[in-house]
Amino acid sequence: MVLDPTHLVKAQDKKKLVVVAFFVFSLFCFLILQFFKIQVLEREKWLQKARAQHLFMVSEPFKRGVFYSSGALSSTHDDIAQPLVTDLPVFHLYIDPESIKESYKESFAKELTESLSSQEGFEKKILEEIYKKSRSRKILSSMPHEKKEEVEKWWLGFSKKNRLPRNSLYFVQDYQRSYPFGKLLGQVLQTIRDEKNAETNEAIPTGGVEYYFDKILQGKEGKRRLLRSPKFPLDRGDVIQKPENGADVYLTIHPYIQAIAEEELEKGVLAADAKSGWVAIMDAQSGDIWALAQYPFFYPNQYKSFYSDKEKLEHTRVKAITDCFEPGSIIKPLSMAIALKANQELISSGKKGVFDPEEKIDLKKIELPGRKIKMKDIATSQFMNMNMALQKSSNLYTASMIQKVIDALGASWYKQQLEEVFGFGKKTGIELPSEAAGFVPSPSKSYSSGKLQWSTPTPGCLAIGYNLLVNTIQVLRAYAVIASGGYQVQPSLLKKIVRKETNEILFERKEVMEKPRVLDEKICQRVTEAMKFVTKPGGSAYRADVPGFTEAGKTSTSEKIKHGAYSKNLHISTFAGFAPAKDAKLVALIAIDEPAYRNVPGVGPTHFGGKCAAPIFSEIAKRVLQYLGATPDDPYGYPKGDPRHREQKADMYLEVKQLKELFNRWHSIK
Amino acid sequence: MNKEMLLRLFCCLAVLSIYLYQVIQKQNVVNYLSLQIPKLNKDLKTLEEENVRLKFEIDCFESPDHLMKLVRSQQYAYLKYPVVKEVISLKEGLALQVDFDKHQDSLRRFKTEPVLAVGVSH
Repeated sequence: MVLDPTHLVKAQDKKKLVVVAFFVFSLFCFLILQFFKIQVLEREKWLQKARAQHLFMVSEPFKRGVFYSSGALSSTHDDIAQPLVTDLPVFHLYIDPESIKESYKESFAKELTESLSSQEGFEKKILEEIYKKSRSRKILSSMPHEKKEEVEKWWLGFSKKNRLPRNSLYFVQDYQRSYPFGKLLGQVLQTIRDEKNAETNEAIPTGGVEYYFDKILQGKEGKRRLLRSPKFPLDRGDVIQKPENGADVYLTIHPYIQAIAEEELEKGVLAADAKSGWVAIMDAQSGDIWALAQYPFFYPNQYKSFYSDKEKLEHTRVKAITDCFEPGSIIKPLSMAIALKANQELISSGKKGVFDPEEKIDLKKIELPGRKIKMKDIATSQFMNMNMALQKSSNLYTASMIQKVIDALGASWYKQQLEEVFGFGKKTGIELPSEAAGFVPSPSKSYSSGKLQWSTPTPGCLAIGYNLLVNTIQVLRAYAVIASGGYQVQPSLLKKIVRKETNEILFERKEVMEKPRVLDEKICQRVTEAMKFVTKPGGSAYRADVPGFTEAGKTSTSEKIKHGAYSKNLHISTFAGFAPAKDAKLVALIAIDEPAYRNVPGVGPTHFGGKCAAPIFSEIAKRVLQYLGATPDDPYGYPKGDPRHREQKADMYLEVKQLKELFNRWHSIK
Repeated sequence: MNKEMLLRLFCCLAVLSIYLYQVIQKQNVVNYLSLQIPKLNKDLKTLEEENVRLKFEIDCFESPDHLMKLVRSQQYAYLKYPVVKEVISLKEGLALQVDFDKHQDSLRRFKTEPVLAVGVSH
């Protein structure tokens, strides 16, 4: 065998071959190194780039916290909380205009309108959006699940038939505030706007507790990773960060008591032909607010119609919190309590008391200092004691008692009692926005006009509820001092805040075992005794009598200020009271704003608190006490015609009879 | 010798094949299940949504306004408001063990006939 010399590799070629082989090997090594660099050293960088190209993130909505009502009838009763608001899932419909071929755009708009059974205007809207150069346009908000399924069914067929990417139409899930009890507690709850904050994507509350607890109700959005593919459905994908839902707020509001209050208030406001009205009911011992009703009602799911209408706008605020008014005669029992406290303080320091509640006072002899116009009473009776003064709502008697207090202890002492014992002029701290602090004039201060806040006749005006401003909850708090036997209670709407997922209690309001005492128990008993005459025959609010139960209260008809002067036609008529009179369960205030100023034959003027607000209290207290399972403490005190009616055995029968006899004797009436 | 080696090799390969088959089979099952997850997730979400919607409808039915309307109807005219003192609360389960015949004397203090009502407390 002979070797072909041409086949022999020359040494020079060998070298070239080695060089080429080395070069190829080097390239291969470089490639390997490059692979190592890309896949190992720069793994994260390229992974992120790849993910950015193939995957994208969308936010996963959180559930906003909700409000629960209280269901406990007593402290030993199980609390079955019911939701006052529920977050129902809804879907927003989006389209990707750029991925829909031009030739199908019109048929898409037409068929989608048909599948949604919408009107022609909707087709126009789709056409406007579909021709925009965008990858995402929202065309319909807050669709329910059933509607979403209908659209999905249509879209599956349409996209298949026309070979359109499945993701050209997609849904984004969200939650919508829904109200199982409708308008119940509307103003207090309020709602959230349909549109979210464009920057933070957070809900925008319209007011009420939604606004007050907004930070707590807000959760944290999660993240969902989706594959960028025309066939990949957008409602799938991995949740890579779970959303954190908002915490739930448990309110002290009792839905049945609230419903009773709303029902009776509506009847009362319509009967009085008034502009509006509100009712606040509070647990006299704990300060838990059971009901905050207001008429005309506010429907949270129709909030836009309220906020876009000037006339309706005022019905969106919680007037019991935001609106201050001159309380008028409902302040008189508190003035009496202050006078009795002054008596007690003077006697304990060895001095003479300012007055004797049983003493016969001649009202004709009363001279109130500094008054240009003489103060008058509606009743023209000449002689009165404390019981009669409250029963007949005497301005002169009350003002003269407070004048005596001022003479003995000074204006500052009196102002201090109004502020520190009854809490006027200070916010109650109730968990609602825009609470008005009210106003109590100061002896040393002036108004912005330069006029002194406190002049010589001021104490007389304050004693009968003028020259000061209060809100409804402040009056409830003040009446609760009398009802609870001298203790100060803290009105509150909040029971607890709970994070549902973890069952973590973020806040819980504990029952205050040792409440601060601000008034002597005997004083409270004496004032309550006098207040009980108000709701019995001969009293200014006998219509407030609660069948089967004892009660104590006071009515008021205060003139409203219009154009800087007291109006004779515009009033705010109120009744404040508590029941039962001993160991009170509830304390309530009923306010009727601008009742019709009219004279009904056989009834007389109907705008008085005793005529329009007192009957509402009677009905509400009767139904609420029945609902709470309270044992009737006046088992014979039912109206005539009721089989349980026994006039002579009824509460206060004897006392009222004796007071009437005394009144007649003093006025020589036979 | 060669036969024995072949037999051993065959056995090994057979075991390995079976093992590999099982691994692949398991992998298939896992894959199948993992493919089901998104669908099941979607179904679960739909059921949860349905649950929320039904709960909402029950709450609407149990709204105080509606219940008060029902109470006023003739059908429920026999209902009365019990006084708290007349209500005996027993722990769940204990109520069923009470022998009412034995407690006739203590029950006599109630003016009305005691009624056993069953309720659930959450």
